[in-house]
Amino acid sequence: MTATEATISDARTAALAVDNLEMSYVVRDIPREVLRGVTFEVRPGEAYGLVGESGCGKSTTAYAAMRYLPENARITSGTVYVDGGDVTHMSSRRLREFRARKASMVYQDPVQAVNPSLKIGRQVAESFEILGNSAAASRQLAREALRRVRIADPDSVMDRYPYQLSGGMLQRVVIAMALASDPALLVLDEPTTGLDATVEAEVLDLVRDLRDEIGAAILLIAHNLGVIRSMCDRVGVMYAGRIVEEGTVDVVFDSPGHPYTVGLLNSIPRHGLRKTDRELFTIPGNLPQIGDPLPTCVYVGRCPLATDTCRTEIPPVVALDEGHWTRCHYPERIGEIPEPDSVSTEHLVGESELIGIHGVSKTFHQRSGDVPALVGVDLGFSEGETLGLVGESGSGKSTLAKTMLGIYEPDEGGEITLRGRVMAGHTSNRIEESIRSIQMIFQNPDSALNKSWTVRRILSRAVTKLTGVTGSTAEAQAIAIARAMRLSERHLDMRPRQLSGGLKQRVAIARAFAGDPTVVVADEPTSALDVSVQAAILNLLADLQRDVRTSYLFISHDIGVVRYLADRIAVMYVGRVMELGPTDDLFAGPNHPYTEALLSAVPSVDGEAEHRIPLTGEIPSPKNPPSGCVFHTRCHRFIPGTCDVADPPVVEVRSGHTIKCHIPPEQLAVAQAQRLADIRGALDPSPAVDQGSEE
Amino acid sequence: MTHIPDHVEAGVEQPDAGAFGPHDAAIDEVAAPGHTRRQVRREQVRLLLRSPGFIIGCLIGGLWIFSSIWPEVLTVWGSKDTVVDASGKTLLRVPPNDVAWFGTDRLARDVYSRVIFGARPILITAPVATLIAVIIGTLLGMWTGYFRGWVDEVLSRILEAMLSIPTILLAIVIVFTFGPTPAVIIGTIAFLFIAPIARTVRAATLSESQLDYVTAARLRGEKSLYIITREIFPNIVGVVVVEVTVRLGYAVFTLATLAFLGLSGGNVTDPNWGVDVAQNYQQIVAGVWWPTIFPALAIGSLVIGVNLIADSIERATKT
Repeated sequence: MTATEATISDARTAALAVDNLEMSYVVRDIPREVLRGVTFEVRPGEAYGLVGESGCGKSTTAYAAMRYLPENARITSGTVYVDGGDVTHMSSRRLREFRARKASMVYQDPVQAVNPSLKIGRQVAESFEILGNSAAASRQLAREALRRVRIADPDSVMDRYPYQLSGGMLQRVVIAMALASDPALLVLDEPTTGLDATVEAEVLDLVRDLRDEIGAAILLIAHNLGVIRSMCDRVGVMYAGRIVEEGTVDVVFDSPGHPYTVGLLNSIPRHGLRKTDRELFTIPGNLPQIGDPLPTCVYVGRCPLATDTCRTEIPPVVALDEGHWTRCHYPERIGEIPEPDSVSTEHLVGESELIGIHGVSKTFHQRSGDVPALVGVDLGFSEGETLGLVGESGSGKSTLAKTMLGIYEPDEGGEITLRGRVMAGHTSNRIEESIRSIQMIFQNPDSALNKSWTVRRILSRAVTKLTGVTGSTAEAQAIAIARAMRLSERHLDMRPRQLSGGLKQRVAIARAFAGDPTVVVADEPTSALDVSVQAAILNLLADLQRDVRTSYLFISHDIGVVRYLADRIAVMYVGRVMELGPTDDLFAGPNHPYTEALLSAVPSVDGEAEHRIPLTGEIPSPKNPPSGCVFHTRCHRFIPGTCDVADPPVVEVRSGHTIKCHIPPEQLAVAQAQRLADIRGALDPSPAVDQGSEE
Repeated sequence: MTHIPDHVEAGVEQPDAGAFGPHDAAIDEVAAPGHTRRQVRREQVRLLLRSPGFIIGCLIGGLWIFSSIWPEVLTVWGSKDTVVDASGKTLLRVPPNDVAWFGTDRLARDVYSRVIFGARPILITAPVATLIAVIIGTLLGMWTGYFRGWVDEVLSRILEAMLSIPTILLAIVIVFTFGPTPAVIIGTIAFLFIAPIARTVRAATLSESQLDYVTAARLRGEKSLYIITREIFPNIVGVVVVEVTVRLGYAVFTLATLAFLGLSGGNVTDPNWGVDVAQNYQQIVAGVWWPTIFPALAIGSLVIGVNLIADSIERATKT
């Protein structure tokens, strides 16, 4: 191994070359370092990914590439070249010209990237007009641009306003505008973060297809490692304003050379990992804050391999393979990073039904008509069990959870039972035991915690209200719960805004557990958190379940996370349960075609074959559900004359694994095995694909 | 002024791992800005004390408050005394001079004394009316914003109807109907200001009650009254404070207008800015401007002073 410096091969010909960029944000007259010497290049036609957790400087780097920086940003040294031009020293007039013609950016939230009061056609045409085309020509070009991003009917889209389009469609429009100038560089900043998994897959497919057509270099910023792996040629792993490892995606993700990369990869549930196998890896300590002094190795405070050398000397850039390097003193010791312990106690799931949801429907009565958000849902789960709930947004997952919690009252006829006894529909009518038995963890802890209350008050009140004890006993109990959630005592007198996202979520979990609940509903509890924090929260939830045998109704769009935590999974679509089964059975198949499509849409960190089943169009509105099987409009195994006529039966595949489909399970099994065989045949002998691996 | 996050030492004093595994350790993180609530408050107060608008507003307001409590300290003549010079001659309609600083009016009363003594009625009625309006408006706004439903629908329509009629017009009609007693005037102003206050508070309560902590409170079986007063109210108190100051300015203005129109709630000879303006303005064409201009300036300065304070508070709470 030879120690070299990360260098730019040729800034003149690179689409983007960032050369030793150092940048600070000036906050209250004090410069705070955000980028500590970032160096990388993106060759023409190449896709380069930047990954890292929040605050690592990846978005700052992206904006620096456009020199699109806030007032208080100071480039202290280094240069950025785009298509051979020095962006850092351009006059503002040349910069304008550069942004119009050389580089484009696609932002995280497409809704904010478009003007809500202008029609789509006008907005897309504008990006051509600015290049000097006439109004009529621009309109024509806009039409073609929309067709290029696979919008089938550009004329009708051009005549609509942004609010009339879905998130996925809008992101296509934004991409079309970004490509208007045939840029040399296309920067994508978390382009799919707010989108559903299926829509995300669609947008990623589009970008992948376009790469061949446009020849632009792509800089992709994402916190989702799966997205980076499926989209990019090379990846840079960023931490605290420095790239700590760089290489091709396969090499970096399969044989990482930096302890941080190892930590990141091990924090996410991969390779079908389950809670019964082992805990998730977490990175000890905290992300450094912007401006923290980190004179030597940026990762030294959290690194399991750190020695005195790491604390005193700046680590060299160590080349591992061709084009793969790491900034670490001990890349050869990577293998010594310990695996998390396997779980000692056996995970126990009770026999009898704890919560039963029997024939529950929920119809919202609106002025414009009735909206059946839930239709005849039958589910149940036992003590110590986790029921995972998956489906696209709008599938009725949250409505089901809220109905169970008593926030919504179910329609006549359905009933929700707790240990066999029917509960009242609305919380206010429920007896104390039912109230205390079912609690909830919310997605966004900022909204879930009262910002004018201290942690102590939040927890004490929950204890008092749910267990009846008051005063100092309640407070002592609150402190005990806080301890169990691994909050320290000094957090008790803080208010939510003083806590980080992970800590806030711990407080929210502590509150939910204040009254020893038997069931906790968790609605996307980790989707607002970074992966290393997510791992700690998932471990905590699994621990609590082992300890006190709580049941979870766990809602998440992240299939890997659901697979890790859930004992059984229910797949919902337009307010109906389409498939229900034990986690292992569900991943083994055969599956409902909708489940099949959902599973195929997940971009995987493990680099498994990418053969997505397209889910075209939008999820139908529950107001006007399709006839027959509600999924027939988007189903790839649609049988005309059957599926669009009759409601499909619920068929048992194996004991406890049911599918609501007209196609018999045996036939589904054959068809799905055939599909996987085709994929394998089309590729080289690659590692097993998810759906088939457990059989 | 340095600002260093005060919780940087991370990873220390972790509680005993107990039954939990060793890899559950990413815990002691504290959010980046490190603003405690007290720091934010202190920063807001500092901002307030530094803003020139707030200082000027407080000086003006303070002067009028002093005048309303101890008018005798600031004056030589009583508000109804006839001013005479050293020789005992009655000074009728004399311009500002060293005996009567603001001149005298057509009844030889000292305009300066009347301005100083005139502070008291308005500084009692305006705050009392505002306070009543804010209390009722806040209760109504929180009630409708939290419960919504048909009560909200009906009340909102009524409030909107009230808002569509010019305040002063409605005030004249009500005071005229029930007679210009101080109680009626205070009640009228309070009644008229309920609508805008309730609307503002309702909007704040509505957005607050859609947050998950309210759902969490319902899920642990809290009573609605508890949720409104203990959970939501602390988060909208800033809105209420701003509303108090803004409405106080309007109350002064409306009361002076009513007094000008003869609906003062007192005797015509009592010192009252609005009344004095009304009694003397016709003489301006004759060149006797002082009995009108000085009380008018007093009204203006009080309204401006209160508004300056209101603006600075609003700006400070938004930072």
